[in-house]
Amino acid sequence: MASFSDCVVEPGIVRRASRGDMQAHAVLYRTFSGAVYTLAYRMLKQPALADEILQETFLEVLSKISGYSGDGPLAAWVRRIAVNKCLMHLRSAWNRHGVGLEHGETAPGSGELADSGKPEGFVGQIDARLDLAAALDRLGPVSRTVVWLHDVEGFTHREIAEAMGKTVSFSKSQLARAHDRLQQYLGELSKREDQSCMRALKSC
Amino acid sequence: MHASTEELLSVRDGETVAETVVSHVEACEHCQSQLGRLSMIRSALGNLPEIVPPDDAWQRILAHQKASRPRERRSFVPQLIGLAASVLAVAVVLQVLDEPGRRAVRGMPESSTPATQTATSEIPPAAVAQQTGMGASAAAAAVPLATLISRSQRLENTLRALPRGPQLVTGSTAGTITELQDRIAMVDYQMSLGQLEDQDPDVARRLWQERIGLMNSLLAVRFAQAQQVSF
Repeated sequence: MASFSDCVVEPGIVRRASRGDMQAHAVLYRTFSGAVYTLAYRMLKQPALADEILQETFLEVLSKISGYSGDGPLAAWVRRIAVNKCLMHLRSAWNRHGVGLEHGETAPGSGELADSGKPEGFVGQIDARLDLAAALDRLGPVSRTVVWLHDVEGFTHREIAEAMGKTVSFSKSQLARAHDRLQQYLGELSKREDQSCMRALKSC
Repeated sequence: MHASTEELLSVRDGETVAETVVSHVEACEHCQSQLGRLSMIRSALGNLPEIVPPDDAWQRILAHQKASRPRERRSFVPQLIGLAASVLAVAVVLQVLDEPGRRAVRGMPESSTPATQTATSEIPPAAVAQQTGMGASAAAAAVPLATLISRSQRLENTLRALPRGPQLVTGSTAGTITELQDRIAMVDYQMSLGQLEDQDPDVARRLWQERIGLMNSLLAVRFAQAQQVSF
């Protein structure tokens, strides 16, 4: 996948973008939109919200690109804006629904995997990557955010703690919790696949 | 006892971990296996496919950007020129409308030169008093009541002839117009009371003079407003 670390923009494009060049803006969008949208989708789980974050992020990037100091990589700057917007949304969602930070996980056996409405044999055929994506979706918002930021985006526990207004040990325990859950969900999927195979064999 | 997930993650990520934990993980098959799974999940997460944003997302961003961009500052020079022109035009209109009344005040003959006519404008009784050496009330009294009424009617007609104002006006303009209209209505009310009680001609003159002054102000504001609409 194209993560932020894969997004490279020539300095000339950044200079043109900071002068308001629309073509340079389009280049920035083409370079970063996939990474921003994927990040937002993985963290927030909803296409509509990911779309909103994508829009808000680019409006901010394009309006503030002239103030970008160029000290760090542009990708890190764009990613920081996108992550902050996702976290702001998560915070507001937590506040709105009164959900504790560690809650919000989908109960085992429920959610996308159980309610997919796919034929019985489908589970046995799905790609392992889809299994992992589905398992990731079942995590609670905090665990999902922490594991994505740490394992995919390369944030340190300190950076995650700062971004979320929590402690380093909170970030570490959330990451461990996320991995435990992911393995549990993947194990459940594996069992289902086995059962599906057994049924398929019996029917032969 | 096996290492916890948190400890194994620290080992995986190369963070500082207690020596006893490291030596256990190195020697324990179960912990090694678990460490391998944690690394595999991290790698698999990083390899999840990119999710492609909707096709029209960029167009929507552009539309938003355009809509939220602050309006470009317009030069005020054309507006100032227009305003000056409107004030001048009002002065000319008033000059033409009020000429008979002023002649009556100053005792000027009908055949005064156009240049003189243009140079003069609406002259309040105080100014007339200064020019003629009369008191202000005497100057006001010098204008026949019929002339004042006639001037007021002409101003009324001119106001009616102006195009309708814009639907959107600034709060201050709307406030000024309303205040002038209220004051005119108040003068009208006072005059209607006076008619009932056989008003003193001097008081009537003063009220008509006041009404003309207010109408002049209202005309100037409405004329400037009409000019701005055409910018």
